[in-house]
Amino acid sequence: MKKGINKSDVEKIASLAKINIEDKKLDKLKTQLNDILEYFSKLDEVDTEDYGPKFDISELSNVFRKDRIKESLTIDEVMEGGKNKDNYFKSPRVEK
Amino acid sequence: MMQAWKTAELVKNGDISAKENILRYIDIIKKKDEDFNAFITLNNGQAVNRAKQIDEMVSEGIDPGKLAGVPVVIKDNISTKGMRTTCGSKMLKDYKPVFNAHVVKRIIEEGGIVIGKSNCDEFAMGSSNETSYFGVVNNPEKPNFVPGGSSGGSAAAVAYGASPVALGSDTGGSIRCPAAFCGLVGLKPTYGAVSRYGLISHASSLDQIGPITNKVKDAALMFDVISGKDDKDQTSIEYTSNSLENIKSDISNITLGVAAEFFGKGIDNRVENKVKNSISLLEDLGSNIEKVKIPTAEYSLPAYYVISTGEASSNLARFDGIRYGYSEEINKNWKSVFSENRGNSFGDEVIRRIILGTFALSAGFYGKYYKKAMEVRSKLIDEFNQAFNKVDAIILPTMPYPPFKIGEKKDDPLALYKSDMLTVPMSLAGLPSISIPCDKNSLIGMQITGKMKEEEKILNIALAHEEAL
Repeated sequence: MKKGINKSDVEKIASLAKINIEDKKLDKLKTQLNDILEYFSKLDEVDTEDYGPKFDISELSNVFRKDRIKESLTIDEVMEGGKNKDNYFKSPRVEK
Repeated sequence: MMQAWKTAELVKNGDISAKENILRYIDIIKKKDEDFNAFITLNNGQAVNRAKQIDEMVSEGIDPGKLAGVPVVIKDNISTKGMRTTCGSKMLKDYKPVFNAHVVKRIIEEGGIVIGKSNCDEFAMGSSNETSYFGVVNNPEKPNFVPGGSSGGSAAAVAYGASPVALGSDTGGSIRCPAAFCGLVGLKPTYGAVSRYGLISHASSLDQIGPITNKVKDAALMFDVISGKDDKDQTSIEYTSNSLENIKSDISNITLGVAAEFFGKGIDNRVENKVKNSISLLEDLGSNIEKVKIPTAEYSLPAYYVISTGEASSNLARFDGIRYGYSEEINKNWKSVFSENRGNSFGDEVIRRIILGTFALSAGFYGKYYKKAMEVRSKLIDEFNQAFNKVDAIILPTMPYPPFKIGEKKDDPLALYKSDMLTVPMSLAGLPSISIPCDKNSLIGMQITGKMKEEEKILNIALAHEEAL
């Protein structure tokens, strides 16, 4: 496995995460991320052969509910937070 | 300051007026908040009206509930209907939820009064309350020092007397850390004990809401009010708590565990000495002390940061500025608009964690980081279970050092992450843990951690310690 991540890796991850990051911030971020990732590698020291990943902390599983129609928010309430017109949210453009 | 349970009793009996009481607190906030910046939004007008309603109920012979007339501060990542809920972020600086969080609903049902929304680290990511878009919170007990985070505003508000009780949220220590740094009581409940409905998600397998209070009995009262199963949060568990009524400070049949892993390396001497004194005190009060081992504890911190950043990167994907939240203009394509809205409104720490989490979950690295961290989590839980076969609770420090100066660790994220080393093990294991001051007026806290669903037991031990000081 290659060691650490470089600036273009950070740009690629930022693009996956849909976050614009100013170019001047990328170098510092890269250094900080590498420090942290190196620290994360400490996990390799732990012998976990007898253990599977833990996903159900409170030991609940398959929590279902009845699929019933319930009272919901009104259209006005839902629309309150964003730019909208005629009860539709305004969206970005579809073409490039 | 009068404890909340006592205030509720006096209001119910008509001995004091809820309105007079709330006006006193509003006055304190007006005089002091500019020094500490504990609040993002105040709710004065509505709070006074609500107090009048409570007084009317009392005069009509109706019981307003367990929190009759008690002012409650709510951390600003917990949804309050019609009241700005910002998460300390530019992304949500104007966001008004259209519903109440389950815990807010419960507080109102029990006659409590929401007095305001408290400052916090942005999206609850931080241990010093320095990442908020609304500015740093100052520690009322030690000005120019951090109040701890991420629920720093909740703790500061209680510390300077804005309210007897506050709600915070704790993902890796965000209730316990500020409670310790401000000399208060902070309870992180069992995972699932309190509904997270309406809590803006940070890391869903870790997040819990809990109280920050002056005294242990008020933490018990608040826990009784907010805990219990809620169908709107499918991770919430069946749980009925009557801890305030059952609380007792007799700990003569209690065995307390002490693990070497939580002392020594990386722990400031002042902290170690204070906590050891407290352990001796608890022994003098009749409890037995036994050694336990949690060898995987030292790997909790990297495991925690892999898991929490991974989950955060996914949870925060919902913020795109289209249906709500920060948006500049939308006359570009989807990807540009999302990326600009997010890049221009998330702070540095939030961006760092989203990038880390996205990387840790990405193809080729999932096994090395996230899956491995979840295996370490299983091992840690197993070790705690074994320890709890021998002891009723485990005692350890809350923070590795006393409060530090504002700005001291701001440019070294890893150093700041390491301050969570003693609080994250319980978060990973879903265990209830209460932080209490080691001494009167001390800003060094210790944790009492119990088995899942054993809040009552750790509250008893905390009360015994508090009464003996």
